[in-house]
Amino acid sequence: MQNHVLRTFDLTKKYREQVALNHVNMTIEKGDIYGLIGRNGAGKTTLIRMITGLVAPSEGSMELFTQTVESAIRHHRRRIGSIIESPSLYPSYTAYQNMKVRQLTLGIPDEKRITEVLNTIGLADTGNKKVKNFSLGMKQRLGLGLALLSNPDFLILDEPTNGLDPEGIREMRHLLKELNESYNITILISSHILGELSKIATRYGVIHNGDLVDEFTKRELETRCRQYLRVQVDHIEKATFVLENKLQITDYEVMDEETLHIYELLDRSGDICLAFAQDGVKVTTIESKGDDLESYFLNLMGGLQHA
Amino acid sequence: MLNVIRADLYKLKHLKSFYVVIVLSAFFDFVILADLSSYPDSYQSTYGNFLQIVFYPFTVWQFMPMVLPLALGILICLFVTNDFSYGTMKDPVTLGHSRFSVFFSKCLVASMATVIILIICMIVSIFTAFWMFDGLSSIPGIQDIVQFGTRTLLEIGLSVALAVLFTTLAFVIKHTAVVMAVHFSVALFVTMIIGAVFLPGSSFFYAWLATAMVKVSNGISIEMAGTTLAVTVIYLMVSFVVGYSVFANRDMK
Repeated sequence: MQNHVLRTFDLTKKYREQVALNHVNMTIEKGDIYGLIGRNGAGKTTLIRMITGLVAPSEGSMELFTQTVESAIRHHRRRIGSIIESPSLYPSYTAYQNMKVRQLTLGIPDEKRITEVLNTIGLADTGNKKVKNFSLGMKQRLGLGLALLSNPDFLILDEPTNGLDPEGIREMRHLLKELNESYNITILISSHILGELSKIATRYGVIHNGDLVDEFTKRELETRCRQYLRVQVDHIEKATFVLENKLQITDYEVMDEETLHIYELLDRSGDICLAFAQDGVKVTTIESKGDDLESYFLNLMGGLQHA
Repeated sequence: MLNVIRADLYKLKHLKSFYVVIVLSAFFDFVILADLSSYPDSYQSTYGNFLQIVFYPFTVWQFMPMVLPLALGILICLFVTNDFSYGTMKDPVTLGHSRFSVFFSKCLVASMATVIILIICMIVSIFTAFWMFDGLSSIPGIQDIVQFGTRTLLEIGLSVALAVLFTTLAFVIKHTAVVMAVHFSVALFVTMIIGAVFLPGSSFFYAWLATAMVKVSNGISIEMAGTTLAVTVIYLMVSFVVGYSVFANRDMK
């Protein structure tokens, strides 16, 4: 049984000469919290707009909730709740009235749902206060409430923590995790706050200049970001011989003609240096390192920039 | 589609400009008739009963044929471009409604607003004509009622075509200030140019929706009704096709 919520096949968007998205092949499984990472202008929002039907692809196709025909995809979009760039709100309406418009558009018969959602997002007490007088955080929460009104199966959030204070960010994170764990809602979230993303996402996709350059799970990220010893030596071949034959270390990586990353015996850097010295390998630098998501992303972007 | 229409009706209900436009249009209609009521010699020799007087504000191109398009231009500009400005035009599309539903709903609700404005103006005209005009020679007969009904329907048709035209312009241009300027220019200058250059008896008055209102109010005949209907349908269809084509093929940001 297919477990995909979304699949894209060579999804491409061109604006005259500029390629905003270049043959993106992406899969989001049911129950994923998919973190979409990329610089400003990388193509994240363009991808989200194509999924939600705001932008037509130049090439390629997609499958949404196992549907591939455009009319069926359009029908199933009502199962998506989304915030794209910033919440779309009527400034002269109250929170309730904004929700009411959404309720009417969705055809939800029960008005009690509005009160339920307002309670969930903490805006039930705003009364007659117009949205134009809301703080940025309140607007962001109302946007999330609008996205949740239809009990979506798939939530798409473009920078949802913009404008939120640390407590608000934490509440948003807990809410999203609860929605995912309790109701099995699949979430696609794009964010620049990589530290926050790393606390919640189960899969990641990295977009750079319109290309989906990397996709990995949380477990794979942990593997990639794991601690290691960065050793710079004067003779790389001798060094690898020492590692394998004297120290029985096989979990290492040769980065360039003078740099090694060693993933074992992290607390025995002294023994490693001694072994190298005994075999005439001069160690110029040895340091303990490990990436978090932010460092990993920045290193990846830096590598792509120079590629 | 019904859901989108309900949502748009809710927005119209909460649009303060709608009520302002209704009041000002009705008031202007009343003022024109009230002024005419001061000249009994003039109206008693021209009109037989109060139903015939009701269309007086539409018989001169500087009156309702200019004011009504201005009023509709303001209302429809705000009704449509607000959604573009706030980003809320995206919502029904992201929720699975077709672009056709979104565009059709806006045209339909703008048309309904237009009909409401026109009917209220008619009601104000009927009451003003009934209460303020003395010395009229006859009571409206069946023929007067039929003529009144026919003219009202034709004026409604022309107004609805105007509403759809303005809705299309708003969808094509999107930006509130520019749309307002274009609506004003269309409502004012086209009406002024045709009204000033050509006589009311000229067929050129049929070329534009607002000046066609003068034709409807000044004389009733099968030829007039047929020409008015044709003009209405042409403007309606061209506006709708152009507006929908642009909206359907445009990326939304």
